[in-house]
Amino acid sequence: MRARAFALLALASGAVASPVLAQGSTFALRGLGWAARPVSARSAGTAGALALLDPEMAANPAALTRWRSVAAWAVAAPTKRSYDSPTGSAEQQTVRFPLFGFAAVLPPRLVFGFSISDYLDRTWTLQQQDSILLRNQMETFTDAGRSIGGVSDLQLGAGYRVTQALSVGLAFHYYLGSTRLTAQRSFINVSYQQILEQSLTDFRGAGVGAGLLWSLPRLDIAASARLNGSLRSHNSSGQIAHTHLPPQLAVGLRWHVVPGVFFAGTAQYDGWGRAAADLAGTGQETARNVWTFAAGVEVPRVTLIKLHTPLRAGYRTRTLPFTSLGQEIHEHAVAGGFGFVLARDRTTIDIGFESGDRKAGVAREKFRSIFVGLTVRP
Amino acid sequence: MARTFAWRSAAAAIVAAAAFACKEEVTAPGHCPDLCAADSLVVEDTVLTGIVASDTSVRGYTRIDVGPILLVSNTDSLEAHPLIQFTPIPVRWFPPGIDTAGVTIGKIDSIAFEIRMEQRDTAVHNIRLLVYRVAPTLDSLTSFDSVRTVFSGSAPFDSIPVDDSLGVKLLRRMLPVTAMAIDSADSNVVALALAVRADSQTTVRLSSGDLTGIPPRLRFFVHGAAPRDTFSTELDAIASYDTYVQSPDPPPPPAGVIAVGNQPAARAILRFDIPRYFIDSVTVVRASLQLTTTRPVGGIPGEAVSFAAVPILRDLGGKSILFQDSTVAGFGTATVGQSGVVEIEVGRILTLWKGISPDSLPRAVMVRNTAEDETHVDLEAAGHTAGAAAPQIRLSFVRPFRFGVP
Repeated sequence: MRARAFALLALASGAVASPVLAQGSTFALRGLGWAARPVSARSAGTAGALALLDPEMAANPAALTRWRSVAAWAVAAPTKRSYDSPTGSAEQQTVRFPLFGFAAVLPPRLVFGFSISDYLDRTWTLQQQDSILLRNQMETFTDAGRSIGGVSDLQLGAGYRVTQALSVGLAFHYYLGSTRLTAQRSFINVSYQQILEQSLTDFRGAGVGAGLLWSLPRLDIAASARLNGSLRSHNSSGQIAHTHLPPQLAVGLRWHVVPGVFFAGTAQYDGWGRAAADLAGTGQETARNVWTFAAGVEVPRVTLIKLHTPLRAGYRTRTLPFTSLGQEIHEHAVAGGFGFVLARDRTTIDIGFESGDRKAGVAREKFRSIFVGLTVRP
Repeated sequence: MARTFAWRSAAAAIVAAAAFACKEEVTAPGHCPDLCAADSLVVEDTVLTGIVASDTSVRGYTRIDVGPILLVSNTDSLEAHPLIQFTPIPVRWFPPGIDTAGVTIGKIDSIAFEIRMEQRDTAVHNIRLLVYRVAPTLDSLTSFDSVRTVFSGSAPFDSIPVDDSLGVKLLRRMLPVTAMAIDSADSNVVALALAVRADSQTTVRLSSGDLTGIPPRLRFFVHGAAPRDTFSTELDAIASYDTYVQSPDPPPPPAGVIAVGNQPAARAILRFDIPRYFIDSVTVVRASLQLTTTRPVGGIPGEAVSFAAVPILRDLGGKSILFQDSTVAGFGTATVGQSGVVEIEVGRILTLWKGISPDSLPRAVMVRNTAEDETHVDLEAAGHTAGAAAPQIRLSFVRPFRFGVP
């Protein structure tokens, strides 16, 4: 009973805190934001290589059929980052709650799932000092631009087990969120008052996805596709914009190489190029089609101190869809992780670690993240 | 089983610590154009003229006889004399061990006069404060004319030298006892008057007994009368009523002139008619109300003073109700002798008016000397009918920021 209460509390706290605290990268102020990685802690341990086979993730609705009972899950992801460029450097920390969800099984073949996850992160704060000539005198000021918020992906999915080996799934995605933009200028000279301008932008969009999961004796193959409409942005000054969201295609596999060891890999294509014309029309940086590749290994049958403790490792690389001054932003990371299976397989705590960097020309951001996932199957 | 619970607790602690131990630090070191928002803030500067629809100046916000200062002056533009009436001198005192008859005053050995100098023109040398006896019948009806003969018809019985190196000082002078005879017909009350003499015309500001902790004071050092003439003591008399008389008294502010300060103090009400765009649409960064003086700022040379523009809550002329929130008041400074433009910052007031109809909150301010009790600094500036010299506002502002979408 206590475990259930704790799990519900964790899920609730994730629901409240996520939109405010999320910030994935300094590059979040580019284009539509930072393309978030709503991975489960288990998949994070393999750098996302298991994404299409992981029922907690919104990547493949067919994977929902891997649930055998009602389940709920949540992920917290503290991140430390250090940003360096010729114009400045900074140490940053943040805590994100990138994913939580719930699944219910309708025996014998159907599973429904609902999840809320990060889609685009638009939280950033920007500061710079400068001076201007005012009334024949140079006045020093500090400009601070701030955006808080982002776009979340609400997925309602269903997986259907066609045969013991083949599952298919369908999902409806609703994208919604908001950002509060603030532009602030503070002068050193107290004769000048602080400037504070604010705007609120709402986002709405939708998409549909489909996936399949085919399990062979030593090989699992997964594929998914998602078609998105456009994201409607409406700010408090009445401006409206529509930005095409990308189609997504992904394939993944898990190979049972030797007893107790699984190798996995994922490739995902995001057609953000669709948004390029929309963003260019509003003066934003352009967007381009991008790929994500991940490879990892999982050893699920490890027992430490009488606890079932799966071990994981992986590597991933991707290109972010939005550029920085025309420079592509590349991201690389190595990952590792483990889990604890508790309460007679009713509760799982997964811990994933990730260390990597993002580069755009001479600007570089290093990051280290911890993914803490809690899954309960009451 | 116990071990399982321990593992659960440990795992839960790890989850909680890992999830909540970090603090948010999301500030990026942005330098345009590396990492830059779509728009930027542009500060524009303009001068709004003809924005004062009317002005009214009213004198009488302070009373000289209850103020904390005494002026003594011998300039062409101002002659002023402090008048100080002291508390009665007791006829006996009661040292410890003495019966209820006490000790009657027998002989006054010496008398010290103390008065604090607050401000003077340090460029003027050899200042002396001339001390006169006046009849101890001073009250609020005492006028310059009623005491004029004291200064024109008699010589001072003593004078207090002011060291040229001093600006602020508690002046102390031993007065001649023979000139300070205490008359029981006056209820043992003494009153003094002061004038000033120096190498050149000057004005000196002294502390009065009102609202200060350092009133003018007489210290009497006395011996008892026989047979108790071996007893001695010090008896103090402080100012019970003090004021100063001046000639000429400042006139009521003429029409078309913005008058602020002096004694009794004047304040000016300025009613604005500013285009709504500059109130309701832009963000005011700085707004300076510029007043063009019609003559140099008056007062004691070297003195600086702060002027405040306080927004008016209800415009009732001279008795208007003012905003009591000092954070929305605007301030400016001026020095005595300054001519040309005096600026008062009114940016916060324009921000206060933003989004509020003038019917609800009049777009008017009252300009006053922030230390109107404590100085006689006066400002006279051209009113709204003065054409190019009329009050204007220099405005630095930002137009509405164009947040883009998405």
